[in-house]
Amino acid sequence: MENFLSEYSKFLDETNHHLSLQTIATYINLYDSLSDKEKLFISNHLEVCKECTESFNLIFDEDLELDGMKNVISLFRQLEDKEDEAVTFRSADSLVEVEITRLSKNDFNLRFVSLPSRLKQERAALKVNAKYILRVLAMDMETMFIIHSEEDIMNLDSFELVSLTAPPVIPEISKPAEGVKVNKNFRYFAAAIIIALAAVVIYFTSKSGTGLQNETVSTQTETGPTSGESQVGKSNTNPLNQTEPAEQNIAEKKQQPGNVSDVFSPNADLENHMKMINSGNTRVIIISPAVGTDVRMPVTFEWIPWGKNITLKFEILSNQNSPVYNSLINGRELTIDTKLDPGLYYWKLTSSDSTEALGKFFIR
Amino acid sequence: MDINEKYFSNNTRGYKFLNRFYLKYREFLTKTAGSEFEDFRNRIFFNISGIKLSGDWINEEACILGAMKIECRMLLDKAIKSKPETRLHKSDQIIGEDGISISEPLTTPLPQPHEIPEGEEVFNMINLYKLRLKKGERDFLNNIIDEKIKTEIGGTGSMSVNPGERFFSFLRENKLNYKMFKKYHKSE
Repeated sequence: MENFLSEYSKFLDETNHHLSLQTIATYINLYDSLSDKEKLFISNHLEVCKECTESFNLIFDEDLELDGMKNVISLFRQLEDKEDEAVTFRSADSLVEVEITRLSKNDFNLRFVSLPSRLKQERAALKVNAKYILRVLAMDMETMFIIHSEEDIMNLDSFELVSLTAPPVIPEISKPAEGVKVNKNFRYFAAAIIIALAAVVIYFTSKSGTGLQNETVSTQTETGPTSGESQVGKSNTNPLNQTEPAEQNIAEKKQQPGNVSDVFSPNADLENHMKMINSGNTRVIIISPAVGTDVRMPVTFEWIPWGKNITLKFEILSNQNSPVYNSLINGRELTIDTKLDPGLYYWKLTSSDSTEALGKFFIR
Repeated sequence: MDINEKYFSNNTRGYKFLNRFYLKYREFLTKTAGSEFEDFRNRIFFNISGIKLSGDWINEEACILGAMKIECRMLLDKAIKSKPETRLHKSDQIIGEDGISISEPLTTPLPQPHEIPEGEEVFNMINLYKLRLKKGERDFLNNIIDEKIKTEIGGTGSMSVNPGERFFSFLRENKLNYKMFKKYHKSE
């Protein structure tokens, strides 16, 4: 029986020639579409021909290098013997840094340490731009995965996307020779201003009678209820639920000197808090609604926590920093269909330790 | 979005690959694939756009990039074979347009120049041709190659229907020897 494979094989045997670069590239890149005999023909030849095996290895590595993936392969090779030890991968363009920890033979945790600066402004776009991060290949026996999008990551059994960590914000100030010192001083100065502002706000709120209630609520909110869902307007023993409805609070605040006078005005305290949280390495990434967007009820709040089974306290606050909704949630999203009056609202996720994420939205 | 925009325009993954490949093997490729990168890119684009993916490939990007890499190797193969005396000068470092440094060109072991055997040509062309086929058609063709389908395919499963007819047309168009297949073709 003569066919093109036997003819090719015969030629190689009789002439001592080698597989062409194109044939090897076909074997590497279109392996899945080769027939059994085609695969067998090449693998048999590679077994007996040292030069072709060497060519195969060189082309394989070179393709990865030219495709900007070689460092990822070497990363996974580094991970082979390391369990529970994080190895950092920096993308070829240095814009993205991913920390990868091998949990077991086939399980990896990925944690994004930094992302391109433009993404800092577009957190809601993280889902789309996740593809930017990873030309990550998982070498698992003969299987090779190329991750193009976050969806791909989610669909991979051998991967678990643990956390998308916000990149650090670099202060946009001029950098003279002693740039580091200036930056540090700037931070101290900014911190001092924030503390002073907070003190002024606390002073004014404590001077006004109803302000005290807000302060108390705010403090108790940090410790939070331990279970179930609670909403403003319900009456029970939980101090959080003794808060007045948002509309009522806002109406009262309108009368108070030194406080926010408009339901759409930003709350300086919360705005500063939000800036501080979002400029650090937060453990929770807000996916939607994007910070500062208009929403309509029902609205789905979506975020990515740093791990599985993370219980967080979800709260919606008025621009007076008054809770109008709260709930304990163990997951990545929560859909709310509560009637909220037009205005600016903040929403935050709190763990037992601290505020993990803070966003804001408008109801028009 | 067409193939050109998705894989051949600036800053796409395909463009970057081609650019790095060309920079690395420019000394060879200028002889056969154009003296400018644009010529090289256009040539690859011309070849790839003619493939016309069947549309049932799960990962289109992997297919296009795979085909691109194969085309690159094919051009390099031809370049090496046409100028066997050419040797690459080693450079300390090659920097791509995007600032990525690329290692020295692969100089050894390269295949010796030789006449392209028909078997090799058929193998390479058939496998690029498979990109045009739907999965069922690919499996069918692979069964033919593996000789799992014998003459009993005649009748309702005759090769006069797709993909067999298309495949024979392809072989004829490309002036390839299709003797291996002709016994499966009822009209031969």
